[in-house]
Amino acid sequence: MTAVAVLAGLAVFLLAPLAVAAVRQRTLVAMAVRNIRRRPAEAVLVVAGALLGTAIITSAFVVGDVIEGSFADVARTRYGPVDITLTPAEGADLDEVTAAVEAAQIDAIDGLLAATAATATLEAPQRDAAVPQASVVEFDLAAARDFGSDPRITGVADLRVLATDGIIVNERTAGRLGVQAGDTLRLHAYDSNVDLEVSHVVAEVGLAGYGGAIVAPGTLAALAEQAAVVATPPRDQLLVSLDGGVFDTRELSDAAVADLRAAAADLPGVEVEAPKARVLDDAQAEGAGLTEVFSTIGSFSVLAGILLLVNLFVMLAEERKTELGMLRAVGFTRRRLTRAFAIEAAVYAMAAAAAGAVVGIGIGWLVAVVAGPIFGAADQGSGYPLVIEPASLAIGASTGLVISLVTIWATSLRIARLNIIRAIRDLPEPKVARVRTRTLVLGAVGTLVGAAAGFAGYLGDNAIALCLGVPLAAFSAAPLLRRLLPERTARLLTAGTVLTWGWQCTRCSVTSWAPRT
Amino acid sequence: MYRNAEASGSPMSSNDVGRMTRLAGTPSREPLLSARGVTKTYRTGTHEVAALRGVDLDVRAGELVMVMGPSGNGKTTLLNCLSGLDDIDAGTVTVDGDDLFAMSDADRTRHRAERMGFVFQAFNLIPVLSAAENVELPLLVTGVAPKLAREQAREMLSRVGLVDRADHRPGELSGGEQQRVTVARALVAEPALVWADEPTGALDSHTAGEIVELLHEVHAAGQTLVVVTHDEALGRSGQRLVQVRDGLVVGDGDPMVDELLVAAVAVTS
Repeated sequence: MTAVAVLAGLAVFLLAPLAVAAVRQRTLVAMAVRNIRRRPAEAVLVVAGALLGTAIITSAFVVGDVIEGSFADVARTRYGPVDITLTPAEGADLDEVTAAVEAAQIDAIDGLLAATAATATLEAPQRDAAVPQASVVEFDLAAARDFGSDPRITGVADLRVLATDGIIVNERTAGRLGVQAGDTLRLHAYDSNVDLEVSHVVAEVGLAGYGGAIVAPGTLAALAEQAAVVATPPRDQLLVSLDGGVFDTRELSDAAVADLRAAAADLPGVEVEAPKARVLDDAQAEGAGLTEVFSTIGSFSVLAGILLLVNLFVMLAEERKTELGMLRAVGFTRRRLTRAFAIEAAVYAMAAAAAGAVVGIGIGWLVAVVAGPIFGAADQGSGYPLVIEPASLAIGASTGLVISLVTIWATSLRIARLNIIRAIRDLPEPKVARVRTRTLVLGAVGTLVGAAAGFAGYLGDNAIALCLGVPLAAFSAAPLLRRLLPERTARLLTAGTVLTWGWQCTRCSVTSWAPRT
Repeated sequence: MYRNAEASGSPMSSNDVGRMTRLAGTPSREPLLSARGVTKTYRTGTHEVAALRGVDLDVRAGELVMVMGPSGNGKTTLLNCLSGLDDIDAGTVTVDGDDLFAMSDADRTRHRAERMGFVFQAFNLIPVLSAAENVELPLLVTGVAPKLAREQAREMLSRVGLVDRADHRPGELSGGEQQRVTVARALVAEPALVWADEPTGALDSHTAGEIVELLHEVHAAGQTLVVVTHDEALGRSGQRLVQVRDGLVVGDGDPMVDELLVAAVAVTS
C-alpha cells in the first residue's frame, strides 16, 4: 500500500498544477477538450499509444496475481480449514496430544479434528484403472462437518453418513479412476486390500482435498493389523483450524505454531507443521517472482512506450505549431503554454491509464494462462482464476499515469520553448550543428547514473536495475559519442547496444526462472 | 465600421479618455518605442544572414507607421525584433521606457500581453475557440476576470462589426471576418502599440480595402500602429513611411512626399 500511496502522491503532485490551471482558466480546458474532440481518430490513436506502458506494467502484476492465485488456490482445494497439523511420533498417543492442546487454550484455534492418514493404492476393478500413492484419510464425518468456524470450506458439510464399507472420493481421484457413486473401489494397503463402495463423489475442497479419498474410522487400522510387517503405519494427526476462513489465517499461523510447540513440548516427538501457510508463502513468492520477471521483460516495452508517448505529443505539438506560437505571441508565458498543452495531454494520460489497466488485465491473464504451465501452475490443477489484487491494479494504473505525466511535463516544457516566429510561420527548426554544453553535461550525468544503477543491480542481484541501467547509460552517452563519431554512427551504436541488451535481458529473465517442480 | 467606445454606447475607460485626449491624430513628442542599433543575424549551420544591421527607429504614440521594402530585406524581422517576439543580437528596444531585452522571457511576455497587439497575414486564430473566445485571450492572460473579459471581447467584436458572429469559430468565418477578429483581438487589451504584418496579404482587394479602412478607423481613434505591408495603397495611406532595405532603414518620412513614395513603391515592386 505504501507504493500505491507514493505513486498516488506523485500523480497528484503532477496533476495538481494542471487542475489549478484548469479551474482558474476555463479557456485552457475548452481548448483541450475541443482539440480532443476535433480529431477523434487521432485521440484514439494517442490513447492507444499512451496506454502501452500502463498495460504492460499492469499485466506484469496481473500475471503475478493470477499465478499466485493459482498456487494459493491449493490452500482452498487441499486444506480448507486445516491450518496446522500435529503428528505424534510412532507409538505416541493422539489423545494425549489433543488433551495438551486443549489445555493450552490457544485463542487463535477454532477447531480440532483427529484424523488418520495413509498412503495407499486405489484400484477400480471394473475400469482397469488405479491410482498408486493415493492419500487416504479417515475421520469422524460429524466432527469434520463442525471443524472450524465455516462448514462451507470443509468440503464435507453436506455429507451425513459414511458406512464402514464406504469410501468418499474427490472429483480428481474419481476422474483418474473413472468411477462414480455406487461403483466399487479396491483399497490396497499393508499387503492387504478391501473392497469399498463409492458413496459420494465430492468437489476437491477442504478435507475432501486433504485426502484423495475418505474412509470410515478404523478402515486403515484394520488393514494394518492384518499385515505381518508394517513399514509405515497409518499416521494419526491432529488437524488444527485457526480463526477465519481459508486465506485469512496466515497471519495467525506462526504464533499458533509456536504456541502449539510449547503445548506439546512435554510430549516426545510431536511434529508441528503449517502446510497451508507454506502453500500461501510459496504462492506469494512465485507470484512476486513472476511479477519481477515480467516487469523486467516489460520494462523495455515501457521504455519504448515512453518514447512513443514523446513522439505522439511532439507530433500533436507540431500539428498545432502555429497555434502554440500565436498563444505565445498574445501573451502566454512558457509556463502557461506548458500547462495549456499539458492539460490536454493529461486528459489523454488519464484515459490511457484507465484503459491501460483494463487492457493489462486481459494481457496479464493471457500471459498467465500461456506461461503458467512453464512455471508449474498447471500441475496444481486449480486452473487460472482471474485474481486481481486491487493494489496491483492501482500500482499498474498509477505507475503508468505517473510515467505518462512525467513524460508529458518534460515534453510540454520542451515544446513551450518554441521560437514564436518560426512557430507562427510554421518554419522548420534549424538543425543544431553542435551539441550544446548543457546536453553534454546531462548526457554525462545520465551515463554515470545509468552505469551506477547497472553496476548496483549486478552487485545487488537486482534484475530491473541491471536491465534498465545499461540502456540509460547508452542513451545518455549518445550526445557524448556525437562528439567523437558521425551522428548516424553514434545513433546506430546506441540503438544497437540497447536492442542487444534488451534481447539478452529478456532471454535471461525467462531462462533463469526455474520452473516449479 | 469601427466604432470607438463612446460611439458604441459603452462607458469609456480612463485609459480611453486619456488616450483619446493625448493622441487624437497628433503624435506625441516622446517616442513610445525607441530602437537603437538593433542587429539580428540568422544562422543556419555555418550560413549566416544579417537580417537587421543596426536599425534605429522611434515610434511616437498615436502614429500610423507604414514599413515597406523589398521581400527578404528585413521588414518582418524588424517587426518581430522590435515587438520582442524574436531575440536580437545587439542593440536596445525600449517601449514606454522599458528595455524589452533586459527583461526575462516571462516579463517580456507579460509586457507584450499588456502593451502590444498583433495582426498577422495568416490571421492565426485558434481554430477550436469561438471569435469571442479568441478575442478574450489577451485579457485572460493579463488577469482580467473571465466574465469581464467576455463582455469586453463582445464589445470589441461589436466595434469591428462582428458581434453577431461572436460565437462562430474561425472556420465558419470568411477571411475578412477572421482578420476583423484578429484586429479585435489585437485591440481588446487596449495596447499601447499594435503591430500588423501584411494584414491584407491574404485577402482579396475588396476585403483588403475594408481592413485598410478599419485600421485607419482604429488609428483615428488614437491607436498607435506599425504596419508592415507590400500594399501600395495601404503604404500610401499612413502618416509616416519607413523604408527598409538590406537590413537598414534607408528612408523615413511623409509618404505624401513623392520621391519617397516612388522610391518605396519601386523597391517594393
